[in-house]
Amino acid sequence: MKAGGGGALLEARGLEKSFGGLRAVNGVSLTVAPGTIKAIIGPNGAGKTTLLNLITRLDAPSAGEIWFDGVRIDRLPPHRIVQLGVARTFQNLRLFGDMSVLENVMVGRHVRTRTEMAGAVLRPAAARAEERAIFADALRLLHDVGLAEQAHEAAASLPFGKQRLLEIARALASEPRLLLLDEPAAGLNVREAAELGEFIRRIRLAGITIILVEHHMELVMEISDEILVLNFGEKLAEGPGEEIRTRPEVIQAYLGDEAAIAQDLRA
Amino acid sequence: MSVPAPDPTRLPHRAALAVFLFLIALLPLAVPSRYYLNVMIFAGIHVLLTVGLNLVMGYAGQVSLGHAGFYGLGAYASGVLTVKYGVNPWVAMAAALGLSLLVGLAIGIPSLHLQGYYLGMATLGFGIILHILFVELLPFTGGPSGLVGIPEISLLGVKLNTDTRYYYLVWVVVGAVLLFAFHLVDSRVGRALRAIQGDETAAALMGINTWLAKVRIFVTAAAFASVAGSLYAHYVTFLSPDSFGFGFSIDLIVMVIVGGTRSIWGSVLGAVLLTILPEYLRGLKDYDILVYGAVVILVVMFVPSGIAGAIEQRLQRWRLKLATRARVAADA
Repeated sequence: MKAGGGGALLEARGLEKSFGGLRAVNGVSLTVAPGTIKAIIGPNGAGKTTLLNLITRLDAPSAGEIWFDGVRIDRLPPHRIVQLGVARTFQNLRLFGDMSVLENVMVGRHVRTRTEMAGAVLRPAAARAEERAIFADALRLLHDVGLAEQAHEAAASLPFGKQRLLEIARALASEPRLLLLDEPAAGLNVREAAELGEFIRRIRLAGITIILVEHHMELVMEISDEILVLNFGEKLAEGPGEEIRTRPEVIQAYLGDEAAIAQDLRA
Repeated sequence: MSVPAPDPTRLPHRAALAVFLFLIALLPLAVPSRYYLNVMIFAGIHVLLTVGLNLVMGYAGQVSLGHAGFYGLGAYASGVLTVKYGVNPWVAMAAALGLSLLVGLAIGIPSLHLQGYYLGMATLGFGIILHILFVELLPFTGGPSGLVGIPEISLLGVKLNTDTRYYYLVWVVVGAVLLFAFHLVDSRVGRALRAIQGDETAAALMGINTWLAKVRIFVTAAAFASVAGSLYAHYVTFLSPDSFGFGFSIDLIVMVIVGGTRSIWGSVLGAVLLTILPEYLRGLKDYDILVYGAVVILVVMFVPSGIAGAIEQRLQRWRLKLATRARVAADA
């Protein structure tokens, strides 16, 4: 069966993932329309990151299907999914710490470039031109996120907030059509979070569809077109932000976690 | 605002390589006896081994405990083909290379799905199996008593039967392999390897086919080791299984670490220093291994990034400081 009815860029149906006896994701379906920002919220342990791991095939789904732009991706290896145009960032940063800021973004260009071992060693004109283009493209992305000045520093030496930006720049370097952001605002101060929101909006303006896993409700409400609420691995609600916010079952789910209400709903 | 031009910290490796090879070329004119050339021939052969091993272990971060196996494979394939079948040494060397590539693929394809200790065990097992074959395949290898009578190599009608001639042959090959390695590590492919070393999962999510990249570099290292083995066979003209056992795999790892992982110059330095050092320690009789061990421990304790690694870091910091100072001056 061909997916993508209604022109969805990403469509997942009946996703399940169990770790031992624990059902981290239980029968979740979702569709993401092209050019939109979809936020995924829910209490800790609701299965948000697992869902992203299933889409990028870091974890194999126990059941269900995932289609990206008409291609079934839930059995493809991670690097093939990136090639098709899905990129992501990580809740706990996964930069190449020993490599420079610039080199991290240059690695991001890997999937859109082609020099293999023979070209790397013999360096024909085409390979040299491609290497220069990788350098220039990476530097341009660093300018976009304001990290050009630190281009030659080790990635691990950047302050936390800048490492988050660098991860996004590295993901953008792969020219994704769908960008998955896993708690990009975690650890950022208010001003940094506002700047991040602005930046995410600019990414969407460039035509990139976004799935945003985030606890920072102000940011979620401000920039997302639709919100998916997960609770104990199941879909609790889905819809536009203002509507989601007032649904009794959503409030109920958050009532189990006083801190979550305080932090999230009142934001 | 100033745009960072090509990396100011990047060292001009190719220029350094040209100078280095020039000095290497002059060495035979300066040494007091052919004994020094003899040591430097082994050093060059060891460089071929450590550069490949460093690409696998240092750059790609994959443990390999059986590198001496590929060295032995190249040596024995060359030796057996020339001695038992009268094959031309160059043809034998090419055949040995082809065989090592195939064996490299056969070992690499399944075992590079493994990680860490498991990959270590798989490569360790491979090295031990090969060593057993060298001992047990008596009709071909001569077993424990060795394979004798390996012919010398000729090039364009000139017999490479003097240390000086063989020295140049070995170091021309070393020069080519070093150029290969310097180009490779500073490319899309080299960045992918370092990304795998840094975080294999993140590398896969950058679209890198990590398994394929690992197999390719593993096979490349096997090829370098095979050529090293062939060169060894035609120089020494006698092969014994003991030269290619687990102990030598460890010696190679020590050379890579002492010189500096993730530094091609480190592999050169490690191989040359640890080939020369035992020669100096000969006078100590049985105590030489103690001093050798102490030197290795001291280096690992006090310069964990290796000798060349430490020097390169120092140079880079210095260059970065100069570049920053120049930029500040330009902005003022």
